[in-house]
Amino acid sequence: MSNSEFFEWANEVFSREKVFEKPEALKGIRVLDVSQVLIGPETASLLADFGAEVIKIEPPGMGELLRSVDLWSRFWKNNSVGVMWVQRNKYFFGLNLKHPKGKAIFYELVKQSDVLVENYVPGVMERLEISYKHLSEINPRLIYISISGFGQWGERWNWPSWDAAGQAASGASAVSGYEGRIPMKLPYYPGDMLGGAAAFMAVLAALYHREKTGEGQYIDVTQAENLARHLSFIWSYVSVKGENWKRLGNKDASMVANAFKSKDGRIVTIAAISGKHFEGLCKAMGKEWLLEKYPDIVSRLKPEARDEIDREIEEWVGRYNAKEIVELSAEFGFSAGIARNSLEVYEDEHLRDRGTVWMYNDPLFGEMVHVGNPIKLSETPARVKWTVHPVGYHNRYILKNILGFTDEEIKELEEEKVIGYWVDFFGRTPPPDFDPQKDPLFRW
Amino acid sequence: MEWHEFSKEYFEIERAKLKPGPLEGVVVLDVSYASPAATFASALLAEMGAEVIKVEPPNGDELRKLSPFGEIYLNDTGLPFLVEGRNKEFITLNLEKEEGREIFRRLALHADAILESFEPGWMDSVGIGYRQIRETNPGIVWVSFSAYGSFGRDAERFSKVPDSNLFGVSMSSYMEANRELPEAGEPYNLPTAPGFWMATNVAGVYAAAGVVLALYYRMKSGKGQMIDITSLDSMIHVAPSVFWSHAHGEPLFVGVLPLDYAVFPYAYWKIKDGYVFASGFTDPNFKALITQLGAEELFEKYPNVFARIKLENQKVLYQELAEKFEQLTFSDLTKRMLEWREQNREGVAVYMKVTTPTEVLEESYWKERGDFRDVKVGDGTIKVIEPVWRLSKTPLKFKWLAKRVGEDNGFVYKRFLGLAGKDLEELKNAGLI
Repeated sequence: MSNSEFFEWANEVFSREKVFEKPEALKGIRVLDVSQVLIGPETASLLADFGAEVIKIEPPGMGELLRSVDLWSRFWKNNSVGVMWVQRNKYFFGLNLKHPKGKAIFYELVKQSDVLVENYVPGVMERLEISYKHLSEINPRLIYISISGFGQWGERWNWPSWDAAGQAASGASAVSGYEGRIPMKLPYYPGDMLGGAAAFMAVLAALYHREKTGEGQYIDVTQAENLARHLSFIWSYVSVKGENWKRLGNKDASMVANAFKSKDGRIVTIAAISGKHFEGLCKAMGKEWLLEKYPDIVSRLKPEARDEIDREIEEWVGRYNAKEIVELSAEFGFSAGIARNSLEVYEDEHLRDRGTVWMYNDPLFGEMVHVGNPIKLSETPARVKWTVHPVGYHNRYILKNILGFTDEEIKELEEEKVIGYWVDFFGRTPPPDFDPQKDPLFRW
Repeated sequence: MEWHEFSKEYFEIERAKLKPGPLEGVVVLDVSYASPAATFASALLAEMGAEVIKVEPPNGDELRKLSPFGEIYLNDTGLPFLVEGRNKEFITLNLEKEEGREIFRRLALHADAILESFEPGWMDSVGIGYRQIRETNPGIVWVSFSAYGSFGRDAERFSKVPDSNLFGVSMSSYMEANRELPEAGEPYNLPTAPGFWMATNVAGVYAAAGVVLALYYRMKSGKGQMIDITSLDSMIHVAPSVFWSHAHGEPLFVGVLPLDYAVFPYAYWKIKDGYVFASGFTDPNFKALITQLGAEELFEKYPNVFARIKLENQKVLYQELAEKFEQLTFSDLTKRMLEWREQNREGVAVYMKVTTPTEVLEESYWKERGDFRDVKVGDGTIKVIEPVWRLSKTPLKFKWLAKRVGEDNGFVYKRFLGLAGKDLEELKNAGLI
């Protein structure tokens, strides 16, 4: 008894085609992004997805560190896809914050901004005289978020950190993988990406509060603590048991859920949270006797029961191709997924409809894909407009448009090395088929 | 005053609980069922100070029955629900009956946000979906949680499929990337899920952020809206793999643990007292790392990032460094790092011990930051993780664990609908609460 009319309506209101006809929730919010690598840039990009004007400030020349890093060092069209991933819709400003004139320009921007995002080792901003202490004096409405490995205060305050340091410190790795093997350094930087999601949430909460009261505030978010929060009930479990959490591979200790190999050699994940899901699974398998043997959820979670249930699912999955199992999940109502590869995700038309696999035309890179924002809003949807630009690409736009500098003044700033552009070095130059001199935006 | 002392004062840890939360005054109805993602989302909203009313069917949300190994149940509730039921109020209401739905419509008049996880289209089909509720409450922020979502070409056909953590990590290609090198053998070289509920939890974070964003927009425009959340969309955002397939027309190969696909050295090694994360992938940082390990001569062999990222080189270099690491303890490594820093030498090598949950609970760092709290429940005490994102003026708070099914019926139905005593008795007898 599906409600087709509802899906027609939902497809219409969430239509990918209509996104640019709709308002942006963060229109008018200006963000100064002085972060680098992943966690800070992702936080600022999430704000930019919803219409905030984000100015990414980089040191002239080499710019940000992640420009030197790419998957397998391939540097498609001279650029890092890692950088593309977390640099969405931003204005790229090559500004030397160590130059007195650069700092003066920065302070002027702070007066006209709403949010500042940074993720240097705690204390660095203080030395540069651009910490919350300094900037809240200039702009008390400013929301200033500092993101770090372990926090602005506490015994690890000045520890440098990378994503995996957060994974290692938080217990996230120690609970992942298999007993007796090296714990898993989880892929794609979850310390940064999950941390960026939470940092984004914290900034929005502060914006909401500011809208009511007019006051800005300071926010302290860390990689390690954020991952620890994701471990949720695991802490309570080990505190009651007084022993460590075992690494269980794909087996979920708290629900009937595990991964199995299909007839065609794919890894298929099966999960049943509620009684109804489990019933659907048993019916799909033609093993209703499991329902009678283990009538309630708690009985199914006991280790011996779980072993038996998992063996039965394993035997069944092994008799079908992965896609057949997925079809059965739609019919019977249990959770089934395939451990897909990136090409399968890229080609998934359903995800393209949802704007999750975001196909678009980029002003620099041409036909492009992006990771669309996962928060699908009906009235103020997120959108990807463009991805990374070279260092200083929007210098003239920012200086003229926001701060009213003249061509002569800009020339002077260039000569004094207060502002600057990219260098001819891997990960920095525009795509080979793109000429910035022909772009009015660059020449503004 | 050093920065860490100065910055700490902004947060006034001792006074934090006396300050308002950022979402004070916001009312949220969580009618989700068997949904870890929605439950995490409403826990975060409750930490931010929203009044979250968890609406369960009269027999309770079956999510209460989940607990690791079916082992620990407190207040008749397993640990996931107990811990993420934090700060919420618990009422019951039977949405299978039309009279129950009528009560839901009346409650919805008082809500700023509603979270639900029924099969997409079901609430709509019985007259209590977003489209109907917004008629009487146009400012409502409505969040739907599901596996395939409420829109997109597969949404209707797969609407019966429930979302789950494993669904999100597998379908997104995240899991495919999490595996050891092919030569490790099965099962270690097969796709592996993280050992915690990454997909449903991060979906919960995005959903909570979406609610705050929509409330912010509503404050300016007066308009509500609908938010559609899946753990699959969430995990795709957490993985950059689609760029690779667009650029190179092939699947991205990243399952190379304990090695890395982007930077090296950036890996875990066995040390005398456990495992360590160590990193030094830029030239100066690599020099710092190998010098601290007493292997300076390796620089000539691997003089730049391109040489170090080649998989066959990584395998050799990993082994060469492994021989050094296995002779050292974690404190040996930190001592060398600190000496290096004191001498102001170029480059930074980062080390971090791979810490187990029981070790974390003993470390002074976490105690000083106030990340865990002992909470009395029944006859015992459990440790609960606190909200960890610190806002200086509007701190997030942990207040209480999940209560029993329907424990707040009296309070909530009186407060919002004026029902008490005999009214509630009647509802109960009619099987509505």
